[in-house]
Amino acid sequence: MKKRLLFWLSGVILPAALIYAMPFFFPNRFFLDVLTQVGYTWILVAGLNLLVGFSGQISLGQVAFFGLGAYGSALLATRLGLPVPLAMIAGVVLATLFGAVVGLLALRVRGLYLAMVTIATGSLIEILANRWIDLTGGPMGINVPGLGGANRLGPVEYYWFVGLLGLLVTLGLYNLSRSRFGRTWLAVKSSEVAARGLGIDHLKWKVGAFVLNAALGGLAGALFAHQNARFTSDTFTYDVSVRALVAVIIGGTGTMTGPLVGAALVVGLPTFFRELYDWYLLLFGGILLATLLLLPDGIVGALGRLIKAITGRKAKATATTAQATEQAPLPTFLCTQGSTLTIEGLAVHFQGVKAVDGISLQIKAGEVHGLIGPNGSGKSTTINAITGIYRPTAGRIQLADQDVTGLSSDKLARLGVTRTFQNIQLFTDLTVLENLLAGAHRHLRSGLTGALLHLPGALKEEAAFTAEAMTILRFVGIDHLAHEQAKNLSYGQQRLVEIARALALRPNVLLLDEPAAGLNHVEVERMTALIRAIAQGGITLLVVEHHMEMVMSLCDQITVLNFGAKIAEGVPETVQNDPAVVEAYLGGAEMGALLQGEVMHHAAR
Amino acid sequence: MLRVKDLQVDYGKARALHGVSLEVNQGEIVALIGRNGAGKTTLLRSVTGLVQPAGGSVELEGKSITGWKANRIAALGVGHVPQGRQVFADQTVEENLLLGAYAIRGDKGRIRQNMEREYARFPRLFERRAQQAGTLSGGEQQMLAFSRALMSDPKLLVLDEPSMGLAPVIVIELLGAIKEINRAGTTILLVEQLATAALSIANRGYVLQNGLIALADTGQRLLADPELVRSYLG
Repeated sequence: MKKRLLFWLSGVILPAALIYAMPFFFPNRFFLDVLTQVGYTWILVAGLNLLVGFSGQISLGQVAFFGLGAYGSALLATRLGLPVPLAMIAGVVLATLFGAVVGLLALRVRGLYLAMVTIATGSLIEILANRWIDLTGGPMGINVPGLGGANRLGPVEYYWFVGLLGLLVTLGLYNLSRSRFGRTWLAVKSSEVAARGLGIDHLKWKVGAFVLNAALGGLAGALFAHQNARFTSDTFTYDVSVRALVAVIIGGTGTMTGPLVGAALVVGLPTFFRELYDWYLLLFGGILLATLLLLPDGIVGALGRLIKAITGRKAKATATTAQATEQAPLPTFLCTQGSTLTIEGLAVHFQGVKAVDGISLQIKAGEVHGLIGPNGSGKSTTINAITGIYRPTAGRIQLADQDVTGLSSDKLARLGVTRTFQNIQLFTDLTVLENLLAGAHRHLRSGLTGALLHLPGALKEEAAFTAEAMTILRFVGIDHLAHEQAKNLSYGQQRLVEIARALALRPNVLLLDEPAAGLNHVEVERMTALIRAIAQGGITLLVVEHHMEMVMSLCDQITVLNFGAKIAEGVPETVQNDPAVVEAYLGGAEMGALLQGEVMHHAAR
Repeated sequence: MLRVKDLQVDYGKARALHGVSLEVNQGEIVALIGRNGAGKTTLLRSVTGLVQPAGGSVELEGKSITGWKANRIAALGVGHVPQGRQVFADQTVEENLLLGAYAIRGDKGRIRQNMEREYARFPRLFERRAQQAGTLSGGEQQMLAFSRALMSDPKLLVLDEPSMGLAPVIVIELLGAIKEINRAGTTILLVEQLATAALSIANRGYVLQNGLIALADTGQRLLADPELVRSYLG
């Protein structure tokens, strides 16, 4: 309750009052224009901050959306005589649609190449604005009606309007960042392969962020267009895009107030140091360089750390001795009948290397199936092919009676097939609890509006799944770590988080890739009990593992691979005594003795 | 060879090591065991310079290397096989091995000789020598990380869970290889989850718990009391 009050005070009332009061402090036209400019730049930067800080993409073509918003609104108002508010909305829609097109085109590329695509897009709009003079007026400019028709809003009112929109956008984005939207974007940014394995369609989410960014860019452009009675094409240069990105970085990527700080700097500096006009690019360069070197998380990020350092409690030592209690049964809401997984003649070839070459196996509903074999025998490749990370070269994969061959991993996850990874793939920027909520992605229904406005429905859904996630964390024995950042946990704890996250999807089929790796024998016993409890809840399990005690005590059936082919199959006793398996993999009696610590004098000789 | 005194390390906000002291003598194999999160990897990383300690000292052959950067420590002849392999994924197996020989660059003959020795140790690496390291299986990458560290004939070899992801047969070979390398003159500091296996090849062992040394004894004596060791692992 107190927290809520604080939020309303510091996040809504105080900033709104400041925005309202500014014109009384600076009652001249010049300052008002600058403030208005800061206002719409704030919106432009906030959109880019979402794209960069949350979805991990980059755009150096913000000027395209800004320009489309501006010209779209201006031309619809002048040529078609649309009322200005309607024209502004249309301008935003135009920029949004264009953003969707660019976003879809840009999906195929990432990093450096994505930046190039956006630069090209920006240039396109810049050239159109300057050269299509019949339409845009080019450098000669275009006359635009103001907001409010005949009683055109004065500069003070227009500034209030822009400032208020900036605040609303920021509050909306704040809500969004703390909803499943922000979480999902951060998850995709952190590990695409894991996100897909939980049913998150990463392409859709990336385009979504791009579209949202374009919409906000368009809004900023529309607000710019109607600020004065006239504007020219001179504004729409590459400089707009660069300044927006600089503002994001200086302000603090991924922070909530960073865009305002960044916008104030990139607008304010060149304006108030006008006599240094020729120098201001140099000045920017210097500030950017200093930020990158000294404040890698920007001004707001650095301030946040400073405040935490002063007020923050010195973190409690994470000496979290997990209690060796009895393993609880699988929570009932996770219990299932499982699904039978049938693999027929599976082959995966990489440029002539036959990593997997014609494997058939059936994992019956509710059984624990072990997959073992020498290093490089094709175990992980098999799992990757089953979960849709690799496309099989040949063969057929069937889930219950449905053919799922070649389905992508996010589609499979939505059918209830998920996995853990040999090299743990947690969403490191998220807390343990948030990792689990990302795991529940396929069950979450609340939409964008709910997330933007924090509507009761969305909050209720969030609360329900938080409770579910806490139950799962208790089941795996790490509920005390729920609010820790995933990256701060030890290796063994991270393994448990990964399993818990997979359970949050409520899977029918769960594939575990080396769950015992990096655990000592006491921890392995606990992990074995945990997996057994999961199996007893009915979830079909495929376990790749080298820890033979675990495999032999846990599995109903074991399949042994070597050189990409199946060399043995059966119950543990059969496999254990199979001469081919002993020869290729187990290493005979030596290995049994190894765990008792006897063999080494012998091996060492 | 290596003397760690009252070492303290902070990880982020939390203290991971609360003053750890240990010694590794010339020619020894020393095993470090303990449960997950006890601080084993942190200790190794501060010995090889990947983590800066908040207090205490690290000495190598009587010379303080506290707070030195990893590249300088490596140049003194300390090899590190990190947890999680960290092979150069875009380069071939052979290029990875050549990069491991950075400290003895220039000595072509010795590099060739060492590479043959490593290929003989893990024939699988020889079969895959022209393949990009990122395309190897997890266990094969583990072999590569091990061999890469040996390419420059380190005086002190620091191993962080070398058995992780290896098939049982290979684990036996690996433990044999560690013994063999040790006999050839390399001192070894080993973190390993197969505790009994590690203690059985070690001269001495330390048990780490919550960032402190809880137990220190010879490998044989620690092995003789499995219940005691066990109580620190769970």
